[in-house]
Amino acid sequence: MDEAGSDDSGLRQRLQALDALFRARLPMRLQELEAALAQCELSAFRAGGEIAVLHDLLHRMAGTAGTFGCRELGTRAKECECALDTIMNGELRDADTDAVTRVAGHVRDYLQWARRHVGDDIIASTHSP
Amino acid sequence: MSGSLQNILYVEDDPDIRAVTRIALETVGGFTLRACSSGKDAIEAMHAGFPADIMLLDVMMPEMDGPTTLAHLRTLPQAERVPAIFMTAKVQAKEVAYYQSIGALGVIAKPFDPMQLPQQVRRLWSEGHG
Repeated sequence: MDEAGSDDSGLRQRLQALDALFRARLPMRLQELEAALAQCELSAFRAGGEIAVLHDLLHRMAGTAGTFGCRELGTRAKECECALDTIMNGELRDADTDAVTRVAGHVRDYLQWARRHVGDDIIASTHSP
Repeated sequence: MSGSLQNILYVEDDPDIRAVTRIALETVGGFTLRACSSGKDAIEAMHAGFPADIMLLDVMMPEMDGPTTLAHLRTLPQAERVPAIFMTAKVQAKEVAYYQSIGALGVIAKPFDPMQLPQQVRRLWSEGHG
């Protein structure tokens, strides 16, 4: 985010507090994503409702993380969301089990990456001075 | 459309995004914000007489999504001509074209920079008046 000048430290502090709150909730959000992915895998990505839950969680991450300074976390979530779109939109057929496996692997890789980097600079806020 | 931009009706189900948007639009932008957590809340706010100059709507929300919320709002005389902007991470060309086809003035992409958000809203609102 842009530098807002020295006369708005109060504003910066409020934004930093929201960043901190977002980061504090990240482990819970990742846990929800992992649970949703596990449900999708149980049904081999054939249960529309389970896929929709996973898609919604990825979409939320894609839309929110960058606003709180975690741009890469959001960008990677967006990539997973787009990969999942191919299943939701029916672009993959039952025979495309390899493709479904690739999508699942994509999401799993993202979650492993996110878990490794929670607390790292990648997750750190750009509101910091 | 009214002649000035002061009152913003805002619909977003994510509490974190609602909080940062409130700071952006009220503290940074100086607007009066009515923040709603659902489409139903937004319809009730307009029905109760909130004098919105513009409406900002999230697209993907549970129960009632942004486009459905806008369609309901448009049935209210007080919201019939109020410009609407969607805030969404779904900003592919075909998606933006769809939002415009259902009457949106424009789209603000998520993620967004809170410090720039007021300017983005003002710019879209001005374009709507051009």
